[in-house]
Amino acid sequence: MTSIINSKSYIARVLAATFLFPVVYLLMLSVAGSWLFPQLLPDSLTFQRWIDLLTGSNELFSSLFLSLAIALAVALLSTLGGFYSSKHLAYHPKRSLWMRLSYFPFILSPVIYAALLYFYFIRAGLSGSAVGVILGQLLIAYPYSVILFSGFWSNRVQQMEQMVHTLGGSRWQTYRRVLFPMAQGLLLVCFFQTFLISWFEYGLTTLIGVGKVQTLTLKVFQYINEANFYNAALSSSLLVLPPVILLYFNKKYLFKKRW
Amino acid sequence: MRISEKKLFNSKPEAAGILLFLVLAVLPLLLGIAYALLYSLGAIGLINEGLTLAHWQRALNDMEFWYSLGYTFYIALTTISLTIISALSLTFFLRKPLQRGVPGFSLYVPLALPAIVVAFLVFQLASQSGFLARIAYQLGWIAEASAFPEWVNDPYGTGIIAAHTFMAMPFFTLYFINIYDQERITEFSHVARTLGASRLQQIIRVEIPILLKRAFPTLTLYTIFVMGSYEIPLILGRQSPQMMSVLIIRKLRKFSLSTIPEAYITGLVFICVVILLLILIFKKRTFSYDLDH
Amino acid sequence: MPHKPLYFIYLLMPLLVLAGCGSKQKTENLNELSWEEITDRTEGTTVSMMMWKGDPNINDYMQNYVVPKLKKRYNINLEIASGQSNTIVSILMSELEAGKTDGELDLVWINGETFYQLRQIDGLYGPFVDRLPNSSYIDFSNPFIKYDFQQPINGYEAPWGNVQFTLIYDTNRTAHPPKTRQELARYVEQHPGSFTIANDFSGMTFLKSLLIGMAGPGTLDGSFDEAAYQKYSTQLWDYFNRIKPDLWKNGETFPSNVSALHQLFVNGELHFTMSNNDAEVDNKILEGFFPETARAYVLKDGTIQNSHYLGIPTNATGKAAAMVVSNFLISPEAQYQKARPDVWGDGTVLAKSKLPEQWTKKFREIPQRKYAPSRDSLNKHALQELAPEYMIRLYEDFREKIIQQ
Repeated sequence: MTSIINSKSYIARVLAATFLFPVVYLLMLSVAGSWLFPQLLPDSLTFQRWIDLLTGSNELFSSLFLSLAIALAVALLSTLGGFYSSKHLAYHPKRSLWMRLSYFPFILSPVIYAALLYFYFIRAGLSGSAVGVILGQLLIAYPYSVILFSGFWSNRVQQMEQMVHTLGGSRWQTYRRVLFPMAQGLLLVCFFQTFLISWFEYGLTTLIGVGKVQTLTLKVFQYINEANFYNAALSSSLLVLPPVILLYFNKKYLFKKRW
Repeated sequence: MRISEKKLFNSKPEAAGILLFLVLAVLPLLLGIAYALLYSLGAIGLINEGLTLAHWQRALNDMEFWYSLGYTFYIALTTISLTIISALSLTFFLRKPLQRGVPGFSLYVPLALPAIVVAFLVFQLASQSGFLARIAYQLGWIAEASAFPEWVNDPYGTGIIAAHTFMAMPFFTLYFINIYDQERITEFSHVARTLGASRLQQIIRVEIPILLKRAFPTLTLYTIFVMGSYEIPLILGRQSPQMMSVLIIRKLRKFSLSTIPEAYITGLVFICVVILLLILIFKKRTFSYDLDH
Repeated sequence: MPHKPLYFIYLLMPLLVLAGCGSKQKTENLNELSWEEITDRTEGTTVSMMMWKGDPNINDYMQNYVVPKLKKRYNINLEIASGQSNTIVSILMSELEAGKTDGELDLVWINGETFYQLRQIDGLYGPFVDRLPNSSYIDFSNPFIKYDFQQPINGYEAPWGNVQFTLIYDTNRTAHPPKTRQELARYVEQHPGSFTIANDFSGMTFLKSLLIGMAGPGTLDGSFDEAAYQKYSTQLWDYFNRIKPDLWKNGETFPSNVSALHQLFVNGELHFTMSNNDAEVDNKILEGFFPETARAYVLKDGTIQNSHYLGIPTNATGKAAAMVVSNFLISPEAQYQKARPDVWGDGTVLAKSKLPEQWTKKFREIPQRKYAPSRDSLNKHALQELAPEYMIRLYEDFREKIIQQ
């Protein structure tokens, strides 16, 4: 019996190594001097790329902040907007229709969605700008947020709201004192999930942004394209490290039903 | 849509909340479909010459389109099958060790990787001059790079499937473990055992059906997601056949401007497929707000 | 805090409003302005350039030489977005369809087939080349510069660089590289998996060289000839389908771009790579990417020599600033820097005879390339580009007759 348990935990550790290895590999590639076939390990290490990055002399530096700003805006707008909308959708007689409708934009391939909407973005003067990219990503992140909050609303919550109302609380007070505290955990989860939707987005961003809004994912792709794998690894590391660090602090932010 | 009618909305805030939803989630989709439809029928566009069904005829007679459709299904279904098999195995055999310590943490790591990075990694590891090929070379298994099997840009989409499975498998393992704990599956199994079922019978007859039934909507949604993926087939796929999203973008951005309507037609077909699949899961499960929980 | 809930709607409104009134400068008749006025007015503006960013050396030249110089000298911010020529055409076309007069792109890097497409949809502003002071140095007597894919440029695009296609091999692996297409076929047969082409402009340029070789020099010059194309392209696909089973991955797939081709060459999967730029072998060796034993050469039947150009979209908002940038890019100093094999190694479009003495001297003393044949010897094997339709058809047919077979 113990040997089965031991072999099970051994297999689990092998599995763990498989899942962790990619991150280690990325970091290693980002500091490799030269690493060509058939070398198993880089022939030298260089931290120059990271130093350049941290001192701001690498063009990735601005992409990092651009990605961050876009992702924060998308996360904030879609979390608050989704929370607000989902409440009214949940209590509406047509709630079942709304629920079904919210799945379409969310599950539709972002790049295909963007291709169909590109014309309107140009028309609205939104193509090629960060604002346009934020709005485009909102079209994916906001429905997700609506879906995520759908489970929060219930008769019990509604009764509590009514109680606050009867006691003379304003609508804003209801949100601040009752709804936000009750939904705190879910709000955080939604914020991080929608942050990641934006942080990870490539296809829609490159289309709506006309390649001009150069977020980190666009940089990764550009470096892959010019076969500059060391810089691709560096920019990939920048994409991956924030969520991994977040993961270390709280796993549930990353997991909660992304699909 | 009778938005302004008082019957539909009880209050201003409600109207605002639902309008926001209509503007951000419903309207764009309708606009997008309308534009693609008009373009494909020759009603709009710089190079169009009036209403015609010619683009539809050409698009639907193009074998490349059908290959792409089939290939998209093939990739998605293979990925999801592999994912179900591997995630179920992990759930049944490694549930305990995977819930604590480093293994417990590691399961979450693939969730922190964007598709474009996973694609890049699979390319780095599995190409003919990649890390795995180097190990094979150092071990003397192969004498040159080209002797290593083709796993990326290969006809079977091995790299694409591997990348997607790498992302999906940990997610569904966590998901199954969650359901397992929530649904009191052990209790059902216990009942089965008292009725004389063996452990294997418990798993096959009781536990797997419960898990799959619970997970069905999520599995279907994930299948749709894989079908619409872009970065992974873009980097790991080959030029023919291509998954639908890659095909659409290529046809939109070709030197010959004449294939743009075909790109939109492919997009419309993709949307139809998504709608059909969603209707399928909506039928199986009541998708609505449950106010009584 | 009244009506808080409506706040979210208001939050989105400014997004739309803000986007609607992009503070783009009004287009005025640039022809009425003197060059000084143009440079004065463009100070502090931003130019959005779209170009192929598939080569680290080119990107480095743009990002670390051109961008800071422009900022310092003209106070112009050059922002570079990545996009191949087909992307450029599709973006401009979508913008024109949507009636957008303040386009997203101010300057684009193009040649032949893109020039043709953009002229067809009236996507290019011009003529503007004569307005650039530095255009007086351009070697317009050179037909390889004056004509872009057989089309007179008529001032609608500014020549930027001039290059010739070469094949690249490793002397350590291949002692006697094939010099004709027949020898190439034999080589491929004897070394299966060692050769392929990229499914991008470099591969198509190679195919075009073969096509001209089959048709004979001069046969395909002039405007597009459907019958001639059918005749010789059939020969070309026959030839290609014959060697296809012995190509890399049995010719079932092709690297999507030339950087991927280089990578396969360096990793030893391929015996050959290729480049539209004859000096690329030198800069890739200096960079340490190619082995020092790599060499460039051309087939006996010759290879395509062509120029690449800078164009300004009709709906560009920063036309004046784009002209200032173009003028800098064709200045002797920017051209000199670009021509150095350790920087980019891109052939200059300036005529040495027209340059001021000091620059003639500098260009003469430019570090010579070591691993590619000299420009003069290449010139003897230089083929003129064909009409753009040939390139467009080759792209189409390559997919249909080779990739999808």
